[in-house]
Amino acid sequence: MRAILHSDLNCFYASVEMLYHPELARGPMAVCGDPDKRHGIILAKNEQAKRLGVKTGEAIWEARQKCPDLTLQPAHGYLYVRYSELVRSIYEEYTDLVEPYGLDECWLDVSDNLQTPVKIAEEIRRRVREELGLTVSIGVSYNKVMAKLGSDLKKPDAVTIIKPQDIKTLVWPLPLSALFYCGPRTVRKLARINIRTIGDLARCEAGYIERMLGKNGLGLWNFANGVDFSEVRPVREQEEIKSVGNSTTLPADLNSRDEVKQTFLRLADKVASRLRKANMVCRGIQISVRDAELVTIERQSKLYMTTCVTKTLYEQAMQLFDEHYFWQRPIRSLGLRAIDLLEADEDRQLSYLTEFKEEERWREAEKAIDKVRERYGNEAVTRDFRYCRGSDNQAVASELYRFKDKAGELADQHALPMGFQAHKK
Amino acid sequence: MRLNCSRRKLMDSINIVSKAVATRTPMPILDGILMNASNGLTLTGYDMETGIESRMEADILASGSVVVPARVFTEIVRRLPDDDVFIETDDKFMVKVESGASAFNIRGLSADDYPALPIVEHDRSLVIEQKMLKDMIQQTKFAASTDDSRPILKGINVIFENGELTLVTIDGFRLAVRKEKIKDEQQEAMQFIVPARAMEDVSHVLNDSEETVTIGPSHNYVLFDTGEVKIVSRLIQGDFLNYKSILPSGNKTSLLANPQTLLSAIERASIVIDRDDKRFPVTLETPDEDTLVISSKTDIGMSREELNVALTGELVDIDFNPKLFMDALREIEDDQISVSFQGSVGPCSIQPLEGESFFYLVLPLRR
Repeated sequence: MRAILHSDLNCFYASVEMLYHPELARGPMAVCGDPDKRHGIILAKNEQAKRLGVKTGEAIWEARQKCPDLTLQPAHGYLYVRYSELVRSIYEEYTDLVEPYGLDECWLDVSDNLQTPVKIAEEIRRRVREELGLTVSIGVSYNKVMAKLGSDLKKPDAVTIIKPQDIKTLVWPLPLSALFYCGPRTVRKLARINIRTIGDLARCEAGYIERMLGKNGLGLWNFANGVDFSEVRPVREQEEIKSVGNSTTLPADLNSRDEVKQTFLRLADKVASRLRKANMVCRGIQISVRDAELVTIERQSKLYMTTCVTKTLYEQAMQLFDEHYFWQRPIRSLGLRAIDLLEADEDRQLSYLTEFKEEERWREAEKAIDKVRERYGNEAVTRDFRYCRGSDNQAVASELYRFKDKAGELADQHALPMGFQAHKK
Repeated sequence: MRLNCSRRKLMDSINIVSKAVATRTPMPILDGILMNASNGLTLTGYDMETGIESRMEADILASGSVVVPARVFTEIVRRLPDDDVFIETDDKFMVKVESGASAFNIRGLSADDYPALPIVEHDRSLVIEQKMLKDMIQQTKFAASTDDSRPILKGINVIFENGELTLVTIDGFRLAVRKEKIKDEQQEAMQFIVPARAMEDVSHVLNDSEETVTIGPSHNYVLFDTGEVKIVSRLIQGDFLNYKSILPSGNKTSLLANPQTLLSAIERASIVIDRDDKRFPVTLETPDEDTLVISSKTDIGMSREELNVALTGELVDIDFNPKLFMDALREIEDDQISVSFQGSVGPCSIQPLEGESFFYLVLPLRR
């Protein structure tokens, strides 16, 4: 029998925010998107807010109706990514089979660990709380579906064990919605034939459910009976990357070339840093432009040298854009993709052309920026958008990057809160 | 137009001008060869970049001109049974080609629609030996860039100053320079950039004799004239990279070697390097002052070879793309050359022991 854990960080975004602002823990609070960017929904909430009925995904005004005292906190995505990585590095001490599911959930296959799964789960729970100040709920079971179900049973900061013999007593009385992959539509569909609990589904004839819900129905029926053979699959970075792209739908439609420049510069920054992280360079780029009427054009071009530098990607993107977009309509979204990738050390030929030397210098500079960002967060070094507003001929802007603040001050701002030590691998 | 001529001479002439006949052109007439019979027969090919005009003897019975489709006409002339060829056109531009018992009638086009070659109004010119120019082109053209994003580097920079003619090509990773003294009265300096492709056409036309060719540049065009053949090419506008600015000053290492031996050793080392895989270099390393080790190591296998050399200066250990090295070494006729290095990320230069008739520079690969 396998030993599978499913670990779920409780109120993840809200908990991280409360680490940085302990005063928020006193009353109901929620993390929300930026209303100015048309992203004004609740992303996560703390326990108090949850008790008052605030739900993830509802609009801010809806939440305020239920809970007028609700404190709202803007989201800090990079912090969540970082904490997620810190938690995962704890998991990885127990097994190399860790499969993330979103930022806050992970499956762990600890079958090969000599310790008992329950002991491991308790240790992880304690360590996450003591080392990072966050809490997890862990389900311990013999497959992924039951482990996931277990982690939902007791919250927060708890461990739940589901053994095969517990299924009838522990799992079957639960409503269908507690089952993984059983979404609201399926719940409604099955409710019509009076299947309301997991047990109801498990006791049905498999063929009947299959006829009703198709192939997925059979899977669900198996889950309800505690049968799941799927494996814990760690994300392997070795997977061959064919292209690296980012795109963005803008908060408001773009009407000017200056705005397009800003957007492409931001996208180029992201794409270039992802390329460097993967240790790749590209020989071509592709842009996509979607206008307000949802008409999309995609154009690509070759580069005269391989690159992983923001400036080169950005300039090439603008050139493509100027050649192919004629402003029939305002722009709704833009995308930039690095294509025709090579491993960075496949292109090591030195050149004496200034563009190449320039590229070489930018590459070094941006690698240094990557390091700063890795340590102090993405906002430690930001792009200076004044670069965009300059004339096009001003190709090299030395102040392309602007250090937002002195590194020392940033260290205080973004380092772990007092009292918690970063977990060291 | 009506004429008799020799098939062999006509074929030679066609071969020369067809280098400039356009392929895949929006102007169908450029797909053809212009024939003009007046005082002898002149053939012309022109792709709006380069134009070639070849003049040959012919027995002109009636003057006139016509444009014939290049591919078909070439095939016909190549396969005609007899050396005597008779060509005649009518007022509908039908071209009759007869030789021995064989006769063709092919549809031609009006010569009036054929664009005229630019007239090159040059106020000075350079007269040089054909063989010399031919060699100089051959020994520099390989280092011209083929990258469309840098049109200037797709050319050969022709410089004449102080009685010396210099041809320069640069593709960003290497440099080729060839120099020759010219016996020419005219001392005024000139410099222009000719597309490497046009220069290649020129070198095909030149022969290995002491006959001369006249080079006459204007602002936009240059004319190469051997008397029988005229080649007109558009010049590339702009400033060529000043090659003198990238010449290394003072060498850290110099070694003497035989270029042919070095070439064969590098050729052998590159056998185990997949041509499309740029990851793998050929390594040049000197463990001591008498030995040069040439080695390569790839997924396919490895190779190692030792050469006797005479080294002065620092020992070297440096990686190169072997192709860049081989291209240069293949063009060297000298028995001994000097190969110099500037440390592991600096350029490698290849020069003759005496004089400066050639200079090749190759940049290494980053370790």
